[in-house]
Amino acid sequence: MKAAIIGTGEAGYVRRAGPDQSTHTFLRDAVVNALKDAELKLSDVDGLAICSFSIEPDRAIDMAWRFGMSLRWLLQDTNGGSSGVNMLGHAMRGVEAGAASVIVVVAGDAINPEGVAKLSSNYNRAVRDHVAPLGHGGPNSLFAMLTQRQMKKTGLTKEDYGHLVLEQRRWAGKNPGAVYRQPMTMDEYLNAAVVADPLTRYDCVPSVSGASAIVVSTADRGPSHRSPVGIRALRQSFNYDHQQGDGLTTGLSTIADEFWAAAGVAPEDIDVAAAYDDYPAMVFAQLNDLKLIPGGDLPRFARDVIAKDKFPVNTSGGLLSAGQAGAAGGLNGTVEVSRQLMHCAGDRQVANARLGVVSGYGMVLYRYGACVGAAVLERVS
Amino acid sequence: MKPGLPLKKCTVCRSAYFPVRFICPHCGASSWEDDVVLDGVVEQMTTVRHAAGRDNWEPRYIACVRTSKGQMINAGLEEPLPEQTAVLLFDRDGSPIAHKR
Repeated sequence: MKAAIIGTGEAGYVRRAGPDQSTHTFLRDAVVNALKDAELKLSDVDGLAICSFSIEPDRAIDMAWRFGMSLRWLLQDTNGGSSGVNMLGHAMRGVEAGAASVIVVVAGDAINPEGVAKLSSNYNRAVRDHVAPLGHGGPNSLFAMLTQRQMKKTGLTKEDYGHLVLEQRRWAGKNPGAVYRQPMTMDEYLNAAVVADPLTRYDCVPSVSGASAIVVSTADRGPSHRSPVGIRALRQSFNYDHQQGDGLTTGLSTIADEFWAAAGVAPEDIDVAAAYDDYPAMVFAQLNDLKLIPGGDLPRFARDVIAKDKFPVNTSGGLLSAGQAGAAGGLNGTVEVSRQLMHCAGDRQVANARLGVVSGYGMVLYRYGACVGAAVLERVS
Repeated sequence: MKPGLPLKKCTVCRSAYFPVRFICPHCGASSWEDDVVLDGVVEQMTTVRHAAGRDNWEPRYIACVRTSKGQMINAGLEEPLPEQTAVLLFDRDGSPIAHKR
């Protein structure tokens, strides 16, 4: 039987965790909220997938124990921004293979700025030994240089990135769960403090605390009053260029044709998209690799499509405005597109949304991210 | 700080890498010999003006450098250098540093 997403839940999404809040409590609350949304009991759950940078020394099984879950399927993911798609894929196959019947997929973190600095300097051995000692200040510097390359290669301007950032902020204004909701003008965007040339404050994801979750099962287990979300296709790519390219093309470019063929739909059929937005440049890169940008004309897409609200991208506000709760950033897009396809996205609901695409990107090995994945989701009638 | 950036060169296909790999992505071999690259060219450069969670931050200069042997590396600069500036490479405890040639 085909797997489906039948519930979503979030918790926190606050700038700073309160005294009684932690990574563990946010993860718990997201799980509880997702199960409530799916109208399932804890005892229905027999699978758990979890991704977090800050549950140590606990691991997935410790979290299952603390969550009161007895399971027959368990996964701990470490793939950061692509973890959401990765976990969704494993959960989908787990359900369809009969290994589990109800899998909760959850990700989140509550990390303060000092913790973010420590994490970004010790992300892996290559960053710790060869990049952090340079005073790179986290991935901002690496994506600043990537953005320079993208501007030079494609003709994108600072205003073009602004169109995307402003549009996501506009969407965030309709999302009660977004941390940064106040409207933003192009002047505010362009005149924001420079972080690492050419990136300014609003090009860099704000770190927040919280967690996101989905429930993956079969369509018949979902609430009867609401359509579940099916997975038409899911493909991934890891380390496709060995960090020897320019980072402007991701591994999605290598799987795009197979991805759309498996989905049985075309890019122009998509009603809503979510692309991992650690930086605006990577949104354009992922959408282009997935052939969602007509003719590969990125500036035209920014000016004529995004700026004119002709194609909904990152309708939660994305990480740039909803905030990045650490590893939850990898699941944010899946939660949002699922809500859009369930037609429960509130004021930001995309009319008649039936097909959505979500892509994840993450894990900076040395120069840029190496893990990508995408899924075509559909509203199941 | 030592002149030159240490590389690892595959003994089979002669591809050289920084940071080190354990299996050559080009030919699949796993035996390596030491190599060094002395210079390169700045491809991009950024000034890191702010870093979250770090107090008393002073601007730092980070560059993407294409070495004369083809590797793309992240290097620290002591001063801002424009694109296409020729640089000499140094090893500072495992971290590449580039100076204007």
